Amino acid sequence: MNNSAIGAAVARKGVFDSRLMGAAGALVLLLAPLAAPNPFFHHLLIMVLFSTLLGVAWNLLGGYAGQVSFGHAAFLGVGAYATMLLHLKLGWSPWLGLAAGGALATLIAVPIGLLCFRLRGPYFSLATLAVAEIVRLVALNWESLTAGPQGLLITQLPELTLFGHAVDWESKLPFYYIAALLALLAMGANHFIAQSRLGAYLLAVREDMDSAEAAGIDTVRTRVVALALSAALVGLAGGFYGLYFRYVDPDAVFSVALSVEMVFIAVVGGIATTGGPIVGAIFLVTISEVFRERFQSGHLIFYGLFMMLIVRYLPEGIWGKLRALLRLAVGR
Amino acid sequence: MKLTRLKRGIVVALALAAGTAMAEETLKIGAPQPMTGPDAPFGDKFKKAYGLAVEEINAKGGVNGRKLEVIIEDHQAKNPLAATVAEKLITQNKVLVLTGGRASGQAMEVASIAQRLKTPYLVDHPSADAITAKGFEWVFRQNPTGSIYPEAFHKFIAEVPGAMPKSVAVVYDNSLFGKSIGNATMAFLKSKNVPIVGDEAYPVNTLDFKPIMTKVKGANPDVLLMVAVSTTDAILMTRHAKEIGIKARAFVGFGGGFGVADFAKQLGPLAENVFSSAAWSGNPNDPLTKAFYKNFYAKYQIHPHEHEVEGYSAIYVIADAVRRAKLTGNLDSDRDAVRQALLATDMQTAFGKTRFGNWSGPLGDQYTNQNVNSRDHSVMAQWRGGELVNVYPKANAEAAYVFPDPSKI
Repeated sequence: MNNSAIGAAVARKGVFDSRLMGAAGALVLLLAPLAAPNPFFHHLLIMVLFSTLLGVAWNLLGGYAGQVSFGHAAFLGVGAYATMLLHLKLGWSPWLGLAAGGALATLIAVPIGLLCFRLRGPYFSLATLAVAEIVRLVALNWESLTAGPQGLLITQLPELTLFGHAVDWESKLPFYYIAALLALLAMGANHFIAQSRLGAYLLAVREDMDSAEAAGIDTVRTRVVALALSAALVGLAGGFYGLYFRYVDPDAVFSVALSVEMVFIAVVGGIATTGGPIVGAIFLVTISEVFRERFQSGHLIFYGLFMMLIVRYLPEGIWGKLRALLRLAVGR
Repeated sequence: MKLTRLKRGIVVALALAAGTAMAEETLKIGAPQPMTGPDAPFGDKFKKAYGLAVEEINAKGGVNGRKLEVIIEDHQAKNPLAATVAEKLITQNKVLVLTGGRASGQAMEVASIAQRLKTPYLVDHPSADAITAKGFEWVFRQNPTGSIYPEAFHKFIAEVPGAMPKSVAVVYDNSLFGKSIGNATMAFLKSKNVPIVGDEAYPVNTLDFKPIMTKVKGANPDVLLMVAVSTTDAILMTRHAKEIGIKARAFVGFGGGFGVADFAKQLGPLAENVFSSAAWSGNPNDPLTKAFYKNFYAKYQIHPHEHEVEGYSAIYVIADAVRRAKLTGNLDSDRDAVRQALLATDMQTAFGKTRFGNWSGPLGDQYTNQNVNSRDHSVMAQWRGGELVNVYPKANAEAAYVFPDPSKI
């Protein structure tokens, strides 16, 4: 309780700052693609925003509530498959499908939470691993629906007219702004939750389950709500993945590696912070790109080394550390 | 001070000019390949194969006086990364044409990007039918698709008197590779009214095939067909099939694992007379193919297989097309010129005859720009005393087949 009270107080004090930062962030996001009119640069920006979305979603549950999931790829895959199947089989607009993907991911997540959060111990983490594998096997073997290992391909996105202009899906910009909108939405939600009663509950649950329960917090419900929100965001991200890459297969969207990447983004950036995931995403996308350029086939070694250094020397994450230093500097 | 700055400026300008001049000289081919991660050994095979082809072509003066250059980008066998690097090669490195891909999932991404960004993509190894069955006019493929893979086996049973199985059991993995081949061969057998007494799918990297093989033994098939994308699966399932005592007239394996040296090394006498409907790696009786095998071994001290033949030949197909294309220096129109030239390709490489066309595959897929000779690029080999030798069709044979398996009658 103590910690949560402090956390809430810190957050309240920072309201003005964060609003300013939010506005500045939105402006930067609006203008960033103009920095270089280069499709590959835009692609990297999109990957940063996509990773941010995943990091924020994981952080909500893993960072704030302390419930570590190793199977978030399940929600991403379900979102991606739902969006693509609704479009390919039923002719739904992909944008409606995107929302449906988020909803379906939530629908799958809630029962896991209701079952596992009643237990103490690593059951939730283990269950998420198992669920991700089950969903992968379903996608692999239910061939009449998912086309199995062959995967699903959208060759052309339907036309969309916005403000009298046809959207050019061959350009990166529409995807960039959709990703930016989703990432902003997620970070905004994260920011408000962190300041709300729910945010305080989540921290309380993370720090001391018994005290939280003694204080009258419904710990199961609190965590289920966090899981549902987290899954919904990842489901949306999955839908975006499907529309952006236009091809999904089971190994690409249900892999353990993808689940672990989401953990990395949050951990490198800073657990239980609003800005952490975007810092983590920028770092990881740039670093993996730079390392691949520089070290060629040895790049994974350097990537791994970098991760170890972060975990060893910056357990609070890059953004977590920076924020602490900034606070120290302004004397707060 | 001023002079030094001027001098420095001149040097920089000269360097820039030299840089652009050199960039104009080389013809860039982009190749997304797995250079790290689980598939790294395959990426390395292609790197070596491209290297030899580029070295040979450049030593003879390049293509129309310009040197070839292959830029390999690592996709770590991850689909999104394959899309990322394909895009990078097209927009950043400004390659003229793409090849490579390695596995089908990554190749789908590369094909989809190539189609959208209007850059020709010559598939050299990935076999998923869908890659050339989606109407992508910028995507070409020299190698056969998954469903054409069992073609030599189909010819063998249809043409050799008495070889048509009385019944068949098919054991295949649930990967795209396993399912394409399993479905294609079962469709063919059904069309010939051969009863399929076993239809068993297993997950890749199964550690124990005894339960499946016990079931298969109960069905007592005349011929056992085994499909494996993983080498360990190929070896293990053959071992368990033989140890359980399945009495089939022939054991036929589909997949690279049934053709590697380890297969004979680990199975010893159990490997004897097992058929391997292996990937096509050129006709061993063809002089071009023979020369390639010799030169590749001389350069790397490694015996090449299908991957190396495919990668090496792909560069020759591209070089041939670029030679015939009218390049103007405008990248967009040059890429289209190369695409037009690829459409007119008709040549012989170490891999085999290559000409691209639109036709219908064994499972009804409508192919676009798929090598029209693909049905001939399928071969049956057989293990004899620890050596794998081609036995069918006759034009590619190194020895006569042994059938039925005398040890099983």
